[in-house]
Amino acid sequence: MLQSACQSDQHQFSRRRWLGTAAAGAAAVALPVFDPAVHAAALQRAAKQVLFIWLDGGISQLESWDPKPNTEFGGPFRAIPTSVPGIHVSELLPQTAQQMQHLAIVRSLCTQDNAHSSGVDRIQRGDPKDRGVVYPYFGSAVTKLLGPNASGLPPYVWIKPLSGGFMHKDAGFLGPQYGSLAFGDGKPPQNLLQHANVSDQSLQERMEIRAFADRQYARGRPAASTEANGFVYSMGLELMQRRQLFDESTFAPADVQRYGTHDLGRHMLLAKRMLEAGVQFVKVNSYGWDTHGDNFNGSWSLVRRFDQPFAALISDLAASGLLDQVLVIAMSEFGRTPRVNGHLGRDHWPEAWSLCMAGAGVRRGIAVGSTSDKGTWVTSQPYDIGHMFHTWFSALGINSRETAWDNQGQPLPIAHEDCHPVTELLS
Amino acid sequence: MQGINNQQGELRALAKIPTSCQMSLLRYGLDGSLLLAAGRDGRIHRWRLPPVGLPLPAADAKSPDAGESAELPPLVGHNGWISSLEISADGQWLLSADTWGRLACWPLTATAERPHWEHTEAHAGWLRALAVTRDGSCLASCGADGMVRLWNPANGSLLRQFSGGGQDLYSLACHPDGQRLAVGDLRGGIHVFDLRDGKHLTTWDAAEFYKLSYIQEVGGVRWLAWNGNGTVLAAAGCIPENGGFVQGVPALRFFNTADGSVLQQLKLGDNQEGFVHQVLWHSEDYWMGVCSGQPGRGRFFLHRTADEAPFCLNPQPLANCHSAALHPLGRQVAVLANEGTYGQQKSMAKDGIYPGNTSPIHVFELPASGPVS
Repeated sequence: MLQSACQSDQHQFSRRRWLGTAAAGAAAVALPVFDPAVHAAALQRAAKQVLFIWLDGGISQLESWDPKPNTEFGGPFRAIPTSVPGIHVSELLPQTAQQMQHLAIVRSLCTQDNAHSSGVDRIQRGDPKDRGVVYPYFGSAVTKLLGPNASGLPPYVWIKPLSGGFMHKDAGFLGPQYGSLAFGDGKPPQNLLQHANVSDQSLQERMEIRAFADRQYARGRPAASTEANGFVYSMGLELMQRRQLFDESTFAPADVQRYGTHDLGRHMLLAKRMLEAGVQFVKVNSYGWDTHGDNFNGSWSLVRRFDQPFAALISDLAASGLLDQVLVIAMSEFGRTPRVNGHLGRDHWPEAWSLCMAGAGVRRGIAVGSTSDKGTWVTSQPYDIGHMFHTWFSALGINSRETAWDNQGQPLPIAHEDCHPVTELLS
Repeated sequence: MQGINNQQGELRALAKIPTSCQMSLLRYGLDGSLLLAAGRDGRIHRWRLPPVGLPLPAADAKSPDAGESAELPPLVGHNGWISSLEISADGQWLLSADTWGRLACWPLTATAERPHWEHTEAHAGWLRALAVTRDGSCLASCGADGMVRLWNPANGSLLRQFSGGGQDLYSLACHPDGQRLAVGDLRGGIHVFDLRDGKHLTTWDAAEFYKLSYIQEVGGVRWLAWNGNGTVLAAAGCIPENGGFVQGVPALRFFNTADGSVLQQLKLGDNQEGFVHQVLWHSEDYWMGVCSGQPGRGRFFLHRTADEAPFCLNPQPLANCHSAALHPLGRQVAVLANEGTYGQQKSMAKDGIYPGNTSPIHVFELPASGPVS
């Protein structure tokens, strides 16, 4: 035996990771020497979580958060009142409208990229100044900056249609261990269950041997790559212990109906469970929002299927109190053109679009920014994605102005230095 | 794409009438003196025309213009988009619907300003289609709320209502016998009801016109039309490849009314195009219709059910056709296409205005003797 049973590999890993990440975090966050108040703030930050709902392809702002009914480009739908007097959203969001008291809408996004291929990366990495390095996705950045929490679960999970796997590219220069663990169609990684012919004792011994081999391999090699290898095994072991998280049969039937039986409903319900279990950053993807054709029938289908689970989740998080610690963001890589093309679609439009957020650190029941009568241009202070990164970091208790990445000695701002937090969005 | 035989009939362009916005549907008044268009600006646009149809353009005309059409003030009062227009059987009334659920009946005169009657919430939200029985006794409506409602066109009173058999209803057609109503839904169901009592008679299958793409339900039976004697029902739509872009094969499916069997399925493009949006019956024993596609594509076609392919297509693709209307004398057809800017460019005009697209109306003379078998 290399280690006693009570020093299981995953426990040891968690501790090692806590220490390692805390040290890295200290470097990143540039904390002063130990101070109880600062330490308490760090613990408070570590309790924060994020739900990041990515509507891939571009939800139409005119059919969701910024309706312009009865105008040239307003489309066929009505605007409806919400639970907050004076704020209206599209009629395709009837259930979300009733949760408006928890939400903050930003209607004045003006970003730089109208292509999916580059836009997704630019938005999710915060579109920093080009310094020749690949910045981390928001999820990787958050888990690095917040440091580990007590759940022992993978810090950054991604629930998505299609396939899953470990997505190291999200991490950018932070190193592969800050990538996301993707659950394809909300399913756990393949072969997660312990094989019937492998006893607990045998598994334990195998893990100890593997850990020993890891340590041997790590000698003289960069920590980032070797730790990532061990990290993946440790995540797998932890998930083996927590595999009941994926058991859809244990969802309350009423919840299944409330969230919807379609993919996004099932995935949002799983996201809620992951948040309740303590996962720090949960990303949920929905595909098929690139409505260049038949946008209005498409939005009739898509937006209403977003509305149902989104409203249910906000309601549940608010009722349980979890909304106080979970930052919720729903967005795409851009909005859609006011002009309707001949295929009755809307094309890509980064000039004036919207997102919705809620939860930790966010002011509730507001709509920030405005667009022109026809929805073509931003008429208030325009906000780029850098402003949103500053705002989100601030909402999570991270000082986005004073915190810098340490990229092998190269200090780098964690959000675009020409932008700033949008204070009216912060509670 | 199936083979096209364009040798047996030629369309002759008579006029191109510009419009101020995008339109969804065209109708001629029964005497041919009014052309009406359902605006995606919530207005009913109108043009006065020579009742006998537009004359041939001058021999030296380089391209068709608006000819002898004269635009009249639009009818206002609807919201969202005008989604459907129908003419009452006696030609005296225009029936209109919008995407906010309003149903209205207007005097079909050039001077009309106010509706004869209206219901602001005839349906909960998007009222998608109207149809009138040949004897004029019944107006049917359906909507995204899944309901079918039957109205007295004379005074707007509700005669009957029933569930249309699907959650999201797109299309309607009254059988020429005035006793049956076909209702097309999003998932490719065509539900046939007895108009006299609302009883469901049968359902025919056009499930190929539907696809669940991720969480988007794509497709639907976008238009229904019976032939002149009611023996064949044509269902229009798309065999979708994907959501988002919504590309697919524009398609027509013809049903034998007697037993619901499929007589033919006609494909009108490749899998990168869009929908057959409308199909009409011509008394010379052929169908005419329009389809859309990706930018630049779109067709007006003439087709006889027994043939393998259309016998006539517009020689140059019309960008994204959305509707066609047959002149009452049967020799001219008006086709709504699209004109403007595609893509995500800012595309500012000289005066700094961000321009929208429009739907020019192309008027064609139909082949003189109809199709040749």
